[in-house]
Amino acid sequence: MQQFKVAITNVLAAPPKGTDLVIFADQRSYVAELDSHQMLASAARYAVRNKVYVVPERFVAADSLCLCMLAPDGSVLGVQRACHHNVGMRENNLMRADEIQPFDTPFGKMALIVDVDINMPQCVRSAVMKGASFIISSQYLPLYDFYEDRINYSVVDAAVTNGVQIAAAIGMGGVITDAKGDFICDYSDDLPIAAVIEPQQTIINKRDMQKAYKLMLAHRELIDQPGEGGVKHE
Amino acid sequence: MNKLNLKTSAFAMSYISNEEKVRDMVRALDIKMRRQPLSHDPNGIKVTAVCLRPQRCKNLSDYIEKMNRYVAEPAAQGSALVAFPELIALETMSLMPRFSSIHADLLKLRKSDIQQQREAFFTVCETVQGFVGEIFLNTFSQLARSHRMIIAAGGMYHLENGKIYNRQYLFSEEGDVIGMQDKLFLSETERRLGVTAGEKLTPGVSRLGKIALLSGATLGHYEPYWIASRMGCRYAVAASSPLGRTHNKLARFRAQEEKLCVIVPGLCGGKEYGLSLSSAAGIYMPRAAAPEQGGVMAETVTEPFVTERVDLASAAQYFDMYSDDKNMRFFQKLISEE
Repeated sequence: MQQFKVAITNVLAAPPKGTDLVIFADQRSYVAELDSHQMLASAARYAVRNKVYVVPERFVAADSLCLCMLAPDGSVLGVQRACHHNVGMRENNLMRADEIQPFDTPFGKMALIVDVDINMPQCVRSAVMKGASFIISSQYLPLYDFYEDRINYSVVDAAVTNGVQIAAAIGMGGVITDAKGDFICDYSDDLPIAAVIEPQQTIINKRDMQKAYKLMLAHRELIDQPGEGGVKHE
Repeated sequence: MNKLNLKTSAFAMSYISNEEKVRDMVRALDIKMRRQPLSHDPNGIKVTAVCLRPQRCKNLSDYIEKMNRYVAEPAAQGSALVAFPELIALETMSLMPRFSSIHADLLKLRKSDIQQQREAFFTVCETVQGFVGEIFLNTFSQLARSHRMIIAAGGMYHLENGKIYNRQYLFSEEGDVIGMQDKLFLSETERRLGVTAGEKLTPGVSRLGKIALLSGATLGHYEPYWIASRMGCRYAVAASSPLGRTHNKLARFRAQEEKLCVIVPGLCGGKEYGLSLSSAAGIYMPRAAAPEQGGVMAETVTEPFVTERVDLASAAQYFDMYSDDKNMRFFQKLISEE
């Protein structure tokens, strides 16, 4: 797997030189379904023009909160629907996905983590168990609700618990961590921020993760009720 | 490994210690017993994480006095639960006659092949289990009863049906064993030595509610804490091990995720055993309980213990709009991928 340069920029802002992958930081909670196709078309043109992979804004499609990655030719490389919603989103009566589906890129397998899924330890763990070696997260966080621990309890927790590198667009800014949860790029809303990622620098302990998974299986009786996922939240 | 030396020393221990001697020695400590266990305080309860410094004990009374110091002071401060790191029972091996030569033999084994190490480890566990268990279980049973405290006492290697488990024990205020947990995530050394991992979480049921006895190695995984929480635990002990460093940073994440009080007993020092231990003791809560400290209620590597009042009921009232969504279908899908 080759190294790559990831940048978190403002929406449609020119990427730093030599960037391979761009993640847009969007201060809106999502792009409405009505505008989604225009936003995606615009992001595809951006990918072609700048010859980069791009993860544009969170958007609503087919009654789901989504995040996607576009290839430099403008095609869709991977899409992920949110598995969990924040309170505001729950009011919108959206659907929720039941799994994280990593996808192949030239830089290794990646997973997109949508909005509050980064706060749910099972999401990144599931992505890593399925082979993801790099995590891209995009989360809505209003300015008035931002403090340092928001990053610790989401991005840093996910990185250090799973031994993966994470690039996360959070509210108006972004942060990039290594596999130990240390910051490669500290949180900043002075975008862009960029870092070169060595995909092999993960410290994933698959054996213990398997053990933890078996523990879940041994206690499968605790996962009882057919939950709310996959159906509209009431 | 000089098996004869080991076996004769272990045999000699039957003269040095027995249940009655341990009981008498605890009585001789003149502990001021609480009339009854602490009642529920609306402002929460005090819990203690011990930061143990392993040292060789001169005699049985020395061992009991040492362990009592770790319990007596927290008890005097009003603590209801005190938690010790794992494998602390093995310190009683230092009471064996000719322990120095046995210890030197064990250190030499590091350079031998795996099979030899496994055999020697099995022999040691098989030989010392009787007196180690007797001293450890009786000491902590008596201390729990005398101080009217719940004690998560760490534990020992336990041989059962030809398999060795790293087992932790929970004692009630009456001195009864109310919980046992076989270590779920083994260290590399333990795997090499053929220790068998536990397969299920078996929380102890105490007056304070269910308490999960976990090891520091579980802190890297959300699953044990998710299970503990779903089983109704309010407290989880993540005991440090002499065989690896505990990453306390993770404890506050686990506490936040599952709204648990995570107690991490630490281990420091250990020079006398050829160890260099530096796992901090700490008490961790969901962030809402201590926003200024990021959920870290107390932490130490220098003090013998930390005691803190924790109020889970208040912390649970806090609603976090970003992490309170539940999607059980996610877990159903997860386990169906077996």
